[in-house]
Amino acid sequence: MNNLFQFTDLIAILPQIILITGALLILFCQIVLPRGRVDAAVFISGVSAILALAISLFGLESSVLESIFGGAASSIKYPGFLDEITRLTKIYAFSGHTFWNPFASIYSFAILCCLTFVILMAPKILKELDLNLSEAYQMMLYVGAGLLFFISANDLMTIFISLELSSLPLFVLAAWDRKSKSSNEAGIKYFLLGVFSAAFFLLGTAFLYGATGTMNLLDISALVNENSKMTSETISMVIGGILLIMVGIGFKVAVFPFHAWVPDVYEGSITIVTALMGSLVKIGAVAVFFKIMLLVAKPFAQYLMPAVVIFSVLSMFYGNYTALLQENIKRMFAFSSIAHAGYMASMFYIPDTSKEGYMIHPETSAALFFYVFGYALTTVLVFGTIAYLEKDKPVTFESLKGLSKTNPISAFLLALSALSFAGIPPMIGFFGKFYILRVLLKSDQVFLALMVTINSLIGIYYYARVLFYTYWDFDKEEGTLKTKAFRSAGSWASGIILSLAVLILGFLSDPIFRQALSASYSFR
Amino acid sequence: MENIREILFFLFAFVMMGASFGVILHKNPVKSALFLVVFFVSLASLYGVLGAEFLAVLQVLVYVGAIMVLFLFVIMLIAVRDENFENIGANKGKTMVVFLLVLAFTMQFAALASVLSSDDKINTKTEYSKTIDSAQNLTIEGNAEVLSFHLFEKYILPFELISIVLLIGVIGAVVIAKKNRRRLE
Repeated sequence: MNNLFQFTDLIAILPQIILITGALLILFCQIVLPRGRVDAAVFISGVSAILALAISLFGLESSVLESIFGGAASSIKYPGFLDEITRLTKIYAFSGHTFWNPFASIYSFAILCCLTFVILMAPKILKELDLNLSEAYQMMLYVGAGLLFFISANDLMTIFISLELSSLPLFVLAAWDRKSKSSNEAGIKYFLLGVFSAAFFLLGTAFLYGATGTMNLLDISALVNENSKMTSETISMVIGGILLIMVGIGFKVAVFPFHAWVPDVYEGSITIVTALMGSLVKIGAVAVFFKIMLLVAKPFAQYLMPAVVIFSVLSMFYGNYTALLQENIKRMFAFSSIAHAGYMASMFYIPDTSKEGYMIHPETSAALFFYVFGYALTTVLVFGTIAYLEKDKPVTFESLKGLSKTNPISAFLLALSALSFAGIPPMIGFFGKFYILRVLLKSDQVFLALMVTINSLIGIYYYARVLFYTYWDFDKEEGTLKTKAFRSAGSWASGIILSLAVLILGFLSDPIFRQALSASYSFR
Repeated sequence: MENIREILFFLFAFVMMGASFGVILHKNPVKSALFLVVFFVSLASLYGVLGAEFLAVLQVLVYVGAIMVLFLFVIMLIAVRDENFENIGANKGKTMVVFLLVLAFTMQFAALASVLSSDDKINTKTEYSKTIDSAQNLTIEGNAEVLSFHLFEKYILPFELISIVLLIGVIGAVVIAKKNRRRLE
């Protein structure tokens, strides 16, 4: 047995270390600094998120990096350092507890992108609500670090603890507005359901451990894929364990039977926290769900496939149907996020019919990543816009009337993100749906493809309502919402970058798609 | 007496279920807390049955000794009164407890009977898992040694992560519960 850990182990969790160091620095500043603590917290959190973002890029496949930056990536000469890090891109660290490979890298990149944008948008909003405490930024960094550990963990124990690490600060953030009853309600509901789902996850872990005698995902994967070592008892235990883990993470993804907390929590929390919940947690939970299915579920396709199809189809229909009925914009987007979870869940287990050995179609990982990434960016954009739009009372469809005159920028951004969610061509949402449908049709999943198409059509109705209310020329001269869009430099920056990303990232999908494709092979 | 561990397991599991129903359904908070003590002690006994004596001792010391005392202090400090369950009347609650316990007992009795009748016992350990076997042969000192070895070498990362989780818990509790938030800025 070697020593505690080595330098390479620390390299593997470098982005997480940076985020947690930033959070602890904020804590330290509160003791040391006499004033300006919040500004320091904003600065530290922003810098550490961007730093971690830059480092997460080093896990990508270098050939794809070169195709993005041309020769620039290889011509930068930091002698040895870059090589050293790219050489370490496929390492398993802390005795197999965590790994750093292209899979972890792309999902970390997506999470850190969204985290950076939220941190840029948050200060002004929190200040206006009189809730601007430095702990908020600390909590956001913890959420990011927890989710990074979550997706790069290779051990059920680490997965569970990082799940807690990412949800505990979110419980606090959901209840951040202490004076508001709905925020308190959101906090307590999110807390109770989070604890409830953690219990399911733990029970599933216990089952898997009981059946295989190890908690290392790769070891479990190796064992369950070797049919000779499985008895009928252990097989049923493993299936039960995987189903329970699916329930536990399904709460976080918010697929249909486990969705009940979504509308109240999304509506009750401060809108900028909703942006954090809707984007970051979704990415992390989807990534881990997919990872577990990819590694462990292969021999049990005939048992797990029906569960996945049920999750997926029911969430699509339920989310879309209830979103049709909403008058409150935030609630509408909350319900539509359930429908989007359904589209994502359709990618969770797609068998490859062309090949015998590799059961999950390699393109599913790429399509799923592209969809989740686009969805998360659009979510940050839309909730950020709403956060700057609302004042004292929630934004309803009625109050959106005439918004294009009083506040053209917010109207444009709302329309843009609604179009992207609906899947209208130039936007990123279209390309996500396109890739999902392509994979579904390539692997002969005609039923699921049909369901995705039908639900996209239903979704267009309520997304078009946003456009209708904002741009339709009502008799009223001016809208009722008189707020200005994006009232701070940071939020302007993130708003512009996000809307550009939503508009043009679809055309640049090829390198991202290839990167995600290489990630789907990282476990083999 | 080969099945003594199975019998003990079902015995303690039965007590645990009864105690946890008591925690939820009892009207008096203090008695609920005392039911929780019963629960923790029987959980510790289960650890003992599995051969993890050190963990069992820790369970009793930490949970029963420290945490439950705090629980009771808090309950005593706030006004102690019977919770008013309007829907579940006192009698209904009692019948509920009795019903659930009978149900649990029958299920466990059936499980126990199937264990005793079958030739091969419930296969909690498969051929891959040697951990339980090796743990049984250890003395209390060995137990602690194995535990600390796992905690500080193999599981060092989750161990450190737990410390951050606890830190978040402390900070979050202060932020949410503090009266004068201005002082925090």
